[in-house]
Amino acid sequence: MRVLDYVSVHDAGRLLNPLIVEGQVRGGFAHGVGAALFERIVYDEDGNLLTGTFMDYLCPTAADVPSLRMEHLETPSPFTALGAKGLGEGTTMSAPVAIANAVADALGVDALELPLTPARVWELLA
Amino acid sequence: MTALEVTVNGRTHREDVEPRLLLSDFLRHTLGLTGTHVGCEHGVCGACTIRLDGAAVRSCLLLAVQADGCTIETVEGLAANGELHPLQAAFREHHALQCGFCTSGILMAAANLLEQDGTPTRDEIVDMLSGHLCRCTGYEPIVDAIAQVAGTS
Ligand code: FES
Ligand code: FES
Repeated sequence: MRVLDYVSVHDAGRLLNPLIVEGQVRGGFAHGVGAALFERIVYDEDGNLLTGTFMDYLCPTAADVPSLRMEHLETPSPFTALGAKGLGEGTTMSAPVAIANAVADALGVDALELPLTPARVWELLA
Repeated sequence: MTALEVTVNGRTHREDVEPRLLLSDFLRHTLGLTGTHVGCEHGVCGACTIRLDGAAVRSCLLLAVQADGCTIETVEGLAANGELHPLQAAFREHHALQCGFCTSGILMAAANLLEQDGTPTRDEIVDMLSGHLCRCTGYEPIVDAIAQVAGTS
């Protein structure tokens, strides 16, 4: 599965440091992609964690994270001194939803379990 | 204990070490060079990458005694005379690090790549970088920074 295009629009209020803002959005996006496509926590029947090392728990690498188009809305917050809003890890939550919805739409299904590993997508296709 | 002699960032050290001591722990604990990070201790994350006799290696996958007689470069040796190495300066400019845990390993691997192939393409940089895990940046700023130094951005 490949993400062909991804656009993120975030309203973090007034952007105090655009470089940090973009870093947070990009990093959060990488986390979201990981949650959507790779990162899976597996326990066996006795409750032992089977994915406790990076050998078993797949994190996205530089080759796996798609490029990201980013836009910003700036609606200053009336509640903070400088008009900034929370931004940390922006898109961590939205990326899995967006990717899952894209797959659901493509396959005509409405219940998906993340991460969308190749085996799971294969099952959905069967 | 086994006698060990290594040259690290231009300085020669002679130490007696346990034969089973990891090279990463030797650097960090025996020599106090904590710039080299340890993320997984099994060769997956790349945080512990150093240069050993001119090759980028994972110091968590070597025993200290295996480095006997070798020349090692760690991230502490990158900046010269108080000046940031061009890679370090580019990382700062591109915001290519956040928590910094992955950074020293990536800097050493990137320095090695640039020394072996002065003008790696973006794809070659991504290929090198795919051996390193970064949980903060989303990688793109790191690729941008390395590509800028390589002149291939
Ligand atoms: S600590 Fe050596 S590769 Fe992770
Ligand atoms: S900057 Fe935090 S892991 Fe790379």
